[in-house]
Amino acid sequence: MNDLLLCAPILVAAGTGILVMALDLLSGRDDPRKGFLGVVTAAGLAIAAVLAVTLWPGAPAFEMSFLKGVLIVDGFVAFFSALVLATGAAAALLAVDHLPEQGIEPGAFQTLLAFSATGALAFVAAADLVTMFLGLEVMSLAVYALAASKRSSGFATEAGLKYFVLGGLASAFLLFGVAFLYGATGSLDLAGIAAGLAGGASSAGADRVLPQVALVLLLVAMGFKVAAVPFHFWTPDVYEGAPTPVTAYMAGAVKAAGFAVLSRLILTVYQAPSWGGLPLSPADALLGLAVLTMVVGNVLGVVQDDVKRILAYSSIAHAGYLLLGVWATDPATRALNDGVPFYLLAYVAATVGAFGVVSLLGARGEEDMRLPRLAGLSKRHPVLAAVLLVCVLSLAGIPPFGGFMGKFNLFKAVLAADPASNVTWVVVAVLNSLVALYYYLRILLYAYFREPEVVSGDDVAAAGHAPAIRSAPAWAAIGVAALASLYLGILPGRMMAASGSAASAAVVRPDLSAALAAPAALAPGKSSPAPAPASPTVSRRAAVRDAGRDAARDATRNDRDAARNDRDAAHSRSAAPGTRPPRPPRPSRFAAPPAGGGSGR
Amino acid sequence: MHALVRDNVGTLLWVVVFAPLAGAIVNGILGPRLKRGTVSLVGVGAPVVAFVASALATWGLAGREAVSTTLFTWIQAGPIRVDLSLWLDPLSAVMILIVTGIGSLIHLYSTGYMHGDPSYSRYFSHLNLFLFAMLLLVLGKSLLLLFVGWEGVGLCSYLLIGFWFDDMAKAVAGKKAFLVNRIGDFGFLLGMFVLVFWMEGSLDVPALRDAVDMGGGHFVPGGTGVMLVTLALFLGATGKSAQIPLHVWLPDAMAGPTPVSALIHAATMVTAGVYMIARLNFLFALAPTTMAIVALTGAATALFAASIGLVQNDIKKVLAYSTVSQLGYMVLGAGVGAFGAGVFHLMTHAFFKACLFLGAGSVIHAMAGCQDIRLMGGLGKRMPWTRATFLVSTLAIAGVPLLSGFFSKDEILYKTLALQPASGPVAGWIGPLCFAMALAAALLTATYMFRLYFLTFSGELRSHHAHPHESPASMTIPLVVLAAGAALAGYVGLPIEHLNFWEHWLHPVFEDGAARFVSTGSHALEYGLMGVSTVVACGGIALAWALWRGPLTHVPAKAAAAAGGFYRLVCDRYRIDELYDAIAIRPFQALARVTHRWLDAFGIDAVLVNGPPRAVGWIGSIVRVAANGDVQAYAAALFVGLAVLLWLVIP
Repeated sequence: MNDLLLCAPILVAAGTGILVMALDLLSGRDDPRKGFLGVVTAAGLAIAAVLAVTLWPGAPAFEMSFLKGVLIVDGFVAFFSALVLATGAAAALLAVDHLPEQGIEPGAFQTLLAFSATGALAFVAAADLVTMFLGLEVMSLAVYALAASKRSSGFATEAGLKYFVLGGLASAFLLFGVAFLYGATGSLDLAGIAAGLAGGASSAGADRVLPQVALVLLLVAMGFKVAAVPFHFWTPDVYEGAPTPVTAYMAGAVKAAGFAVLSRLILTVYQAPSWGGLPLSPADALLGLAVLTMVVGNVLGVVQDDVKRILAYSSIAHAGYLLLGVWATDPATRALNDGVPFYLLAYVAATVGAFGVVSLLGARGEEDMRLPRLAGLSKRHPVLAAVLLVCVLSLAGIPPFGGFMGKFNLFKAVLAADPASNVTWVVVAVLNSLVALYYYLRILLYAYFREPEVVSGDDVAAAGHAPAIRSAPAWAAIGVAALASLYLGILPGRMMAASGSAASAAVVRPDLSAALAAPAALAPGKSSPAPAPASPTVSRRAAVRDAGRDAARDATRNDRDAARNDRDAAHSRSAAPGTRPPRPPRPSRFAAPPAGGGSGR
Repeated sequence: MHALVRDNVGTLLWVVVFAPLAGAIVNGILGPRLKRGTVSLVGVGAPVVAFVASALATWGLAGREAVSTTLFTWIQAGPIRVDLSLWLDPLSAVMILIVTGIGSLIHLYSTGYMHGDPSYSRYFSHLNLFLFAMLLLVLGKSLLLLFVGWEGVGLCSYLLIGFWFDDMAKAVAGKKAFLVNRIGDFGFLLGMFVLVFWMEGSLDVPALRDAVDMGGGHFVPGGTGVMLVTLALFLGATGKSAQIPLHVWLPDAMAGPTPVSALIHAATMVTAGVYMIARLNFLFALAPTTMAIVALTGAATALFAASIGLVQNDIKKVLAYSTVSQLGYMVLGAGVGAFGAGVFHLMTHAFFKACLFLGAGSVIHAMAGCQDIRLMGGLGKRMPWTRATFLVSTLAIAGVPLLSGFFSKDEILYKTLALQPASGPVAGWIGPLCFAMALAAALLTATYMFRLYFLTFSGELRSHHAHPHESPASMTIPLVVLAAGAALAGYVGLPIEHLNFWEHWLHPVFEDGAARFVSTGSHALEYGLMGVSTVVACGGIALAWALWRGPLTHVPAKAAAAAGGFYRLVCDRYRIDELYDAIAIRPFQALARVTHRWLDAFGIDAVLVNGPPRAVGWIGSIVRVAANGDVQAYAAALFVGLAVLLWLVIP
């Protein structure tokens, strides 16, 4: 029962897809009121989001019996799931009136959107690599279809196909990486792999090649999903060709989910202390990708003339900043940089708002959004122009908008992680933001300071005189996005706190299922693990972790650890769940003295 | 009733200041949508309300030294604290009565003068805003607040000189006025900054006065520091009150509408410099050297401007130079320690010069915009009211006995000779020299003013295009009121000890400053000088009559020919503008051109601003070749990335 309750957000999202499919069938084929399907989708996803943030952050208090080892639900997952679901809801609202304009059939579209969000939830919440792969595929396959959903347009079809082919390649890499990891550790769940890799630290160098290759493959696959250079090539073409609500979804939800999994995977699996001796530590690879991504994204953004392509390169550049944030973990705590979730939140709000405005302007089957089409927007549609202004300035990182607070906190945290050596990379990132200003301001230049060229007859629409789509749901979505950008910039406190607690939960600690480290535990739930004999590796990790923590974090983490230990204990005793017994004495294996001085990455 | 007013002076002061601001806001924002009558009602109503409040506040002040009222703390930064406080003492009471009283009349006059103007509401909005700033200047308790008003009137002056900004010459005149004033403002600011340090944060005038009274510290009589500070402040006064060497903007400022010239560039704003010196009399009196420089500047300006006034042919230019000259008298009065006399002349001058300017406006109105007095003549018959009021004011400014100008000018002349610093004169010749220049200026004043009068109103009309007519009542009523003031205002300051209400009223303000001067004069000297003044005034009038109306009309042309180069020099206003152009403006423009071309256009724009984006764009255009839309190429890139990473990984 607890399993069902805890899965509720995922079930609601999936149920929304099924409901929309049914409603689509029930309503007539050419019902002009198909727009309500979008509203239903948005409502369903919003409910799922609310369930996620209410149920999941406190989840360790529950007992998850059957799905233990399949799904992890905690504050981290709740944060990113809510972000993904909200983006999905926004995309659904944006699509309500966009689809008829573009001649896209709404029923299938909204169904696919809901299923894609379902997949994204499973992807984010996965506790083992198979579930993760499954989630990724459910999410991605739906998005491939969504990108190509405008069948009348060769442009969109090409985008969908391109994304599909390359995405298939990336999935293959991921699968390869999973296989290698399994080969190296004999485990498929995150915590087990982490324990396995840590255990292999003392073994011969040949054993380390396998996980290293796996790391590269996983990085390539995840880098593809978050559009990191050099795996980004599909991004501008697909963002440009896909219907704009889908673009918003890809730039927001898919990227957020990708980053959630990327950071959890990298931090959980590859932050073992044993990696220092290898030629390429995961940290080096991440840093290289981060710098390359932000530089290439911004430089190429400068030469674009199409708003959607500019925003595509902007999203690539933002992936670069985020990778830098994921890279710069605090060496003491090894937790995720607490600026990352907030940055993603601010980025997603702004980018969804910006693409939302673009989707409202792309009327009458026009995907082409060259900059001159924005000319005079501030006069024709002052509200749309204002939303664009807020969102673009937020993306550019100008106060008082969310993007600024995001960048500020992210860079601050990167600096705090290692003040001496990270300053170079923060300077690089800030210089990149400066370059980015050029293309962001170009958008605003056209929207606010350029008069539309005087044209006659049929060219009117092409030159930017086409009326914007009138759509209350879409206006609500972009309005919320713009207000969120403002809110995050002016009153960031609440969301910063949420971001901090999400970040602190990002790393799945091996002690969650330390007992599963043994290959015998591959089938979770079959045998209830008794407290395993203390493995020297685990105890050392625990000791290192304990030593490096500051007092405040210590308190909360200990609480959580205690809760988890309670749960483990309760599980083995089959005691009644749902209540939180008082904190027991720590199991003896945690009290083992530190063996060796293993530290650093 | 008196008790009620007495208790509410503070509130009244805020009414005084904010009524014009409210008028400015209403007309400024809603003006274009309001009916012309409503605009007039708001525009004239605001100063009238302010005037009534001023009169009540002054009544409520009677018997007390000062009333202060604070709205809120404006600036609080470390030790520096500036409150938004108003300060009403006898001096500011006089000033607000002049500003709002004459201001009301000029606003009324404007409803007639500006009747057909398309920017009617903008005009009244700016004029009301000017009143607000001027009243803030006068009532500000802190020097900083005074400076806010100082800049505010400068802004309004700029806006109103360039009121018809589509005429390039007028727009340029406005800019010139603003820029020349900035030079003076620089001095004012410098003086204030030093004072802030000396005062450890407070710039309140009463606090400053107490500090000076206490003595010690930096406030040493005759000290160098005080001298430099007062000189810096005086530089501000020369800018605002158009004294040598910063007088050049005022004649050009006549480009504004004539009522503006009357209000801002004759009666009120230009006297701000004199007001500031009078306000800080206790400080200036500490520095005899500064005072000598002030006196010499004033006297020289009085003579210099009067000589130019003699050869001008534009009716407003004559009055402009006359204003510069009369401001010289006021500054002279302040410079010799006769602060009361300086402010007295300020007050009488406000009446007769406002009347003269409005009369000139009436003439220009009648002549359909023509301002050249060589084309006028014989207007007296057609414009009896204008003529009569103009004549009264001309007599007053010429210094004919029993009219206001006589009393005020004579008092300045007398005190120039009689007063000297208690610590001894800086140099013995300064007093007599100033007196001589002022007396010569008095002669010239009578001459050029009556030249103006005769050429304009008597004889026969020399223009064949104009059809002069008397102006409407809205214009003649203010003329009559102002002429009455010009005739009678002098009687508040009769040169008889117990009848001199003026000195008595202002005594508390100037007590400290005046105490540092001793009088060496006597009643005999005073009455003797009255005789001299009378002779000079009548002589000047007679000269003007003879040269431009009577038997010697051929002489001026001959004299001009005889004087040759000097005559042309005077006609060209001593070529001061050309001098400034050569030594300041051209070098500065050259510098600006070089800076613009090399530092800004090349260094900053081309290299620093556009350089990096170009470079980035250039790199981008090369890199973008990779993004060619080809799926196979993209997939290949994926593999290349994977290969590179793997190559790095495999040991």
